[in-house]
Amino acid sequence: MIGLLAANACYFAIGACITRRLGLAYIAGVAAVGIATAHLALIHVPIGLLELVVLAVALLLYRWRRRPIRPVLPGPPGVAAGVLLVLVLALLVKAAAAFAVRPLIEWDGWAIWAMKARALFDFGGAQHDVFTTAPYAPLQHPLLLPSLEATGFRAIGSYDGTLIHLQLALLALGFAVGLWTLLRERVAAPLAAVAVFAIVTAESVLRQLAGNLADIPLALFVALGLVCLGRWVLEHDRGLLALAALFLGAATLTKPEGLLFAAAALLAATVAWRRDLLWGALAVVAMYAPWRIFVAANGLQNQEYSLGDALRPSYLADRSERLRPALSGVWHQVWASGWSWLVPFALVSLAAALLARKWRLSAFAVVWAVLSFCGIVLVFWISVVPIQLTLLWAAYRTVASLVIGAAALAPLLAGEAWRTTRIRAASVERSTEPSPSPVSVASSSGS
Amino acid sequence: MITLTRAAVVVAFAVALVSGAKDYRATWHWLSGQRAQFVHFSDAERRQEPGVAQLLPVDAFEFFRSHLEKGDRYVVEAQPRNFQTGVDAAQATRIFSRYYLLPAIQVADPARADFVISVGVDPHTAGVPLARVWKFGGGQYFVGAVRK
Repeated sequence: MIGLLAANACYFAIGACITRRLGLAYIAGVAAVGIATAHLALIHVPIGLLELVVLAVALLLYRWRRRPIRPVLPGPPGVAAGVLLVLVLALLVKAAAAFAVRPLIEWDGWAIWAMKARALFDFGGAQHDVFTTAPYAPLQHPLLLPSLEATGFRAIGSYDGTLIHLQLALLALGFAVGLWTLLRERVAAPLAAVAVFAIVTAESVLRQLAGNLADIPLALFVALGLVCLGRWVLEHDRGLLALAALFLGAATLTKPEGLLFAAAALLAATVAWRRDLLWGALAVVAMYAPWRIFVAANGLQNQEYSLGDALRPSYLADRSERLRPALSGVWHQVWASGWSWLVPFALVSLAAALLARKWRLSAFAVVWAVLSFCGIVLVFWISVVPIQLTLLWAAYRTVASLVIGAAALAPLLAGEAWRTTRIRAASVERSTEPSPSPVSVASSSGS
Repeated sequence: MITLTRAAVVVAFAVALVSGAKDYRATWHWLSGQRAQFVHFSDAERRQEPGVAQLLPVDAFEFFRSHLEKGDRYVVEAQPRNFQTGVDAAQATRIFSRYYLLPAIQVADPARADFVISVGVDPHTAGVPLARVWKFGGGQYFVGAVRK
């Protein structure tokens, strides 16, 4: 366990060289190391604790010599937000205690993700039959999560399918702190805290995370990328765009659907078009490209669907009977009780932003959500797996990014609405204040 | 409009608060239950749980594993029969093998295999010459070493 914690300390140190926001350092470090190790796995370069320590020290020295790091801490939360954050922390500590003893149980958790992680640990990279031949299908899943877990196994010194769940609990903690940090800079502390509280406590979040499936890690990266991008829409801060690119890049390498959610986010961000956005999009493409090249070079086929089929009207028409169940199945899962009231939270926040005429941010949120929803439905529509089976197996978790992403954007929407009402109320107050009469002005100036 | 907007923000805050409060206890209890259920498991039980949870004969897979070393290539021969929705028993055996028998490598073509692993069928049905066959005491599970 000490090795795993040491590796995670390195993620934090590396992240602290990427961003000055200390609250984001850990999750940014996880994303950066995850991306790097996933790519290095493609060329058979395994990364262990020694390499991580050397990299972290080198980066810290470089940053210290070039420009001293002035870390920025999030502001004090206040009592109400503080209570909510303590509750979140308590739940995540509880989760870590449970995850540390919970073995692999869920089918895809061991059959896909742990199997790939173990193979990366055993063989040092992906140039191997395990990643390229039919008995190990599905082969189209990218390698960020398995690479991260394989790095953990190297840090521990052996394969441990139970202890590695701690990495997932730490990921949730990193997400909670990161989201709080991003939101707190822009919205009132209680609103930021209640969003973190609502997302982390929603029953499906920690339950699904415990299964060692990649859907929740994907959703966490998507949500952080979305909030960064949402803030970029408001502020045009290049630092936030860079962070958005990092998290969305990590999302593309976590699951194939990550590409859908990232592309939807970048398209939605064009509502506040600036040339910077193009650089952000190119950065995401650059992070995704090595995996795509590996897939093409090894002829790895997605056996369930081909996105090209979505552009063939005849194919879609032939499978038109799948549209209705796909639509209703995904819709049903978005509203499933496991997500608690995250969707209503997002919708009411959107309504507040629309009432406050925050058109740009609202458009960003709506375009992303609609594109993502339609994209998920499309994937179920074009899949060759019987519709009832694929909905049963995958719909409940495929919607995680949509629900968590929308809930993460909600406090930005509500916060902007609140800020606007305060500004408008202040301007109304100023305009209704009685102006001094000419007589009194003259008498006072004369005295 | 200002009042309406503020009301919407307050409602959004309330919805999020109720959302979290509503699920907090259930999530807490679920986590407590998970720890209570698994904290007393031995290392071996934890390792075997993926198969045990799917009602797979993990003892047989231990037997398979005892004959394989890192890099050994094996092919799985199994009788297709009902297992669970969407997955037959042969498929489940292959999928569990590829995880549980790592770092040995599963292959589809018997001609590439060093070993034949069979469940419920004679390993000779793989169509490759076998130098030796071991049978598991607890059922119709076999490991056959391919003659090279």
